[in-house]
Amino acid sequence: MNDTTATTIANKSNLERKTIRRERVRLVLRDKTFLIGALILGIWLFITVFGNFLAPHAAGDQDFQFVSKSPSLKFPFGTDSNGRDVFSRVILGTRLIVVMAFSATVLGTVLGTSLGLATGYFKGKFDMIVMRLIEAVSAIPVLIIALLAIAALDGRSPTLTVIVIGFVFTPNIGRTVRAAVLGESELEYVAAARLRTERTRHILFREILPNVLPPIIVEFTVRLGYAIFAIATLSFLGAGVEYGSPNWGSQIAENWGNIYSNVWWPTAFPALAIASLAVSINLISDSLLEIFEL
Amino acid sequence: MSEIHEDIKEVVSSRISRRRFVQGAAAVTAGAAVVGLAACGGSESEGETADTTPAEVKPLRIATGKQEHVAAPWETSGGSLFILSMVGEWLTWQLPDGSLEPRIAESWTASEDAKSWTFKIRQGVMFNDGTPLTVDDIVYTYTAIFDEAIHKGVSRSKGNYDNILDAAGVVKVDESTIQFNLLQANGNFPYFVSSACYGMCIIKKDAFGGAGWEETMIAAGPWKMVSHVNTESTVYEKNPYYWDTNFAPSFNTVELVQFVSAATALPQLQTGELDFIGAMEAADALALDEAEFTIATLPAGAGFAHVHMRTNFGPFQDKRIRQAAALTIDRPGYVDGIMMGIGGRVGNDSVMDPYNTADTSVPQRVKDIEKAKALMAEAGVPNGFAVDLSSWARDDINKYANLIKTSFAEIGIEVTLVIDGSDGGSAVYYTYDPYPSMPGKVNQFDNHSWLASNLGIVDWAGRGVPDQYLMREWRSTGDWSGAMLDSRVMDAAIDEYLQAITPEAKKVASKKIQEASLDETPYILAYTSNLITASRNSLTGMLVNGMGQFDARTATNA
Repeated sequence: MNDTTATTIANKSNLERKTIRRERVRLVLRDKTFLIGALILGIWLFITVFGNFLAPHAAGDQDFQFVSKSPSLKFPFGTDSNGRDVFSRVILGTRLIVVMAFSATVLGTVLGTSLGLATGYFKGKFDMIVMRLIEAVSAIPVLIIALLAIAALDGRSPTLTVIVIGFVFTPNIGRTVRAAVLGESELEYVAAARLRTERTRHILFREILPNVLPPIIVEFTVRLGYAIFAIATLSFLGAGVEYGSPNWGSQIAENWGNIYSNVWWPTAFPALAIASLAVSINLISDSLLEIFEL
Repeated sequence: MSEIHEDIKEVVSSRISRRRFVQGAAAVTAGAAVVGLAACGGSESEGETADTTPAEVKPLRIATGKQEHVAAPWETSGGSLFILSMVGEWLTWQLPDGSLEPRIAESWTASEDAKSWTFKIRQGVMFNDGTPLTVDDIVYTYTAIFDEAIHKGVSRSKGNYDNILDAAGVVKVDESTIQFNLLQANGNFPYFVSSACYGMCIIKKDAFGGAGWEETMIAAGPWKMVSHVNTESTVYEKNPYYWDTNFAPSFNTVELVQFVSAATALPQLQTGELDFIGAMEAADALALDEAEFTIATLPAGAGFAHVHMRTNFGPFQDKRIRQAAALTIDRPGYVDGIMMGIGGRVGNDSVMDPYNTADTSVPQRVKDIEKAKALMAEAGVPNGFAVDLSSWARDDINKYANLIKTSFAEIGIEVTLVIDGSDGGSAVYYTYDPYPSMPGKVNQFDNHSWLASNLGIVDWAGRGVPDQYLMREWRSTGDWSGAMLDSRVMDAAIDEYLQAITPEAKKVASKKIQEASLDETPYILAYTSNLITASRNSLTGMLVNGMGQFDARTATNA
């Protein structure tokens, strides 16, 4: 293969990629599953951004005359056993979980992608050692690792939780990306890039990365759903967030015992919020999985 | 509400005598038995075949909170007192109305100056292993806590007696008499040998009362331990050697089951798997159907949650800041709203308020944000500061912590809640690393434990007299002092109260303590709690005192 052939292959490859991308976007925008998921997620993102203006009360506001009151016009989601407005707390808790989940997933995706690109491209002993380590870490349940890490670091800050979950997600994302890179690195356009004496960084991030984006995007959405559950579970267990914060998991932890006294609303509404957010992301994830034919 | 609980209320409100109370309880129990017998007789008269096979008696199952620390006399720090209350026997027992009942001691007398107390010991008392309980065992129980060679460094009950008693003061007079010669006069000393000093149940001479004791639990109380799973449950059977021949509950076995939250025990009470919940929140109690369940409320002295603000390090060293913080709380709102009117009474930041000796002319502290802000400005922190509030997870404490966070925020004090729910309770918060809490011996920084935190909530058992709180929490020598107050005025007032013998003299001293409490404000006592219990209507004769100690000696399933 000479330089001209290599350039021809690269141009052809770019053209094919653009065509496929356009087709996928068209399919995504016509897919009902995706649209429903995106609509629900969009609502939660809107609440995340504008929640402070939407909530009628501050998260900690207590009204001693309205303790454990069922849903009404004044308090649409009722009040909890501390006399706090559940509606306001659900709204104000949105930002916490959404920002934490997105941040943790982005962190995990960036780290995992870098790891996957490196191991898949370089292969050899480096790949073997890193993969064995990843397999060892992956064998331990995510929540156990996260709980241990948070307990060991005596952490109550959301930042620490984000970092821990991001790191815990890294191996799984790395493995997925590596598998995709292994296939791509054998293709002609990579050989052509090598022939053009492109730098490794260019080959990894400009040539291979765009071609392995679909599995990364799908993995991102899948992990985002997991992150929401992980954060909700950790906060339910009292790890990683301040007690009494409007975090949805914390709200459930604080109030679930009152279900037995028929005070179900302070538990039910945060639980529904978690479920709807997780379902919306799963719908998007399922849709992308199908469209990308993964 | 059952008659027996009406009686408890009557005792508390009108101060009827203990004798009248016990008579009432006995009458109700006997009545229930008669009703039960009549029911049996009725069925026979209708010609049904009587089942002659003795039915297996269902155990009495009681829900308690999670224990904290080992259930052994020298180890217990309150969180396991309910376990000990079943197997242990004390010289005297604190009744639900806060008065004392003779148990191992039959009677007692004091010298005129109240510096020497003599107790006549009941004869024929035996430990649950069948060996006799002697005055030597009592002397050992009261001297071993002072002897490090015996207790090997863990003696949490010793602090009960600082400046009150030492080993030399415990004297065997004869085989039926013991004398306590005190370091200073004390008019309430029988409470110091009562179940209110929960770790001081009488143990066998030369027994080790520290960790390991809970494996046998050899003591002289009405029940004998059959099995004990730490932080889970304890099963007891009747102690066949119990001294009181009238001891005849209808249950052969009792099981204490530990719950993190009393709310989660409700379904088991409703389905009949539990018979009694030992302490619960007002909202949970009010959710129960009155036709099936009996709710009882019992004033618990100055027990339950005390909020401490550290006076010798951290941001609360200036008393104006502590006063400002205390002025942010809507006390009546909390008592009427969150505690639903039955959970307690408005407190005035002193442990003296719930007792008869309190001086009611001392002004009640009320919410005043303007005054609080002015005090903060005077103290040089007009914009407030950030601080952690450390405590442990329990229904009432969680709510109290939220109240403090919301209230303090009004004057710019940003509180972060650090609530320990480890081991189902408080394994981290109630560490003893800084014990005893004395200057020079404690961690001089906030490590989020109860004795080394800037701001925290500590649970206290409900005692019939305030002496223990004063000695251990409020006096500068106190070993369980979260605020670590060091005030000569407070110390003098406390000493005056402890040494006062007449109610009049106690009231004079009480006023001084109440005023010093408001001035120094080392603690916030926004309310004084009621102990709320729930039982199935069929259960009668089940008593619990303000300490949360169970007396199931007359418990009967009607």
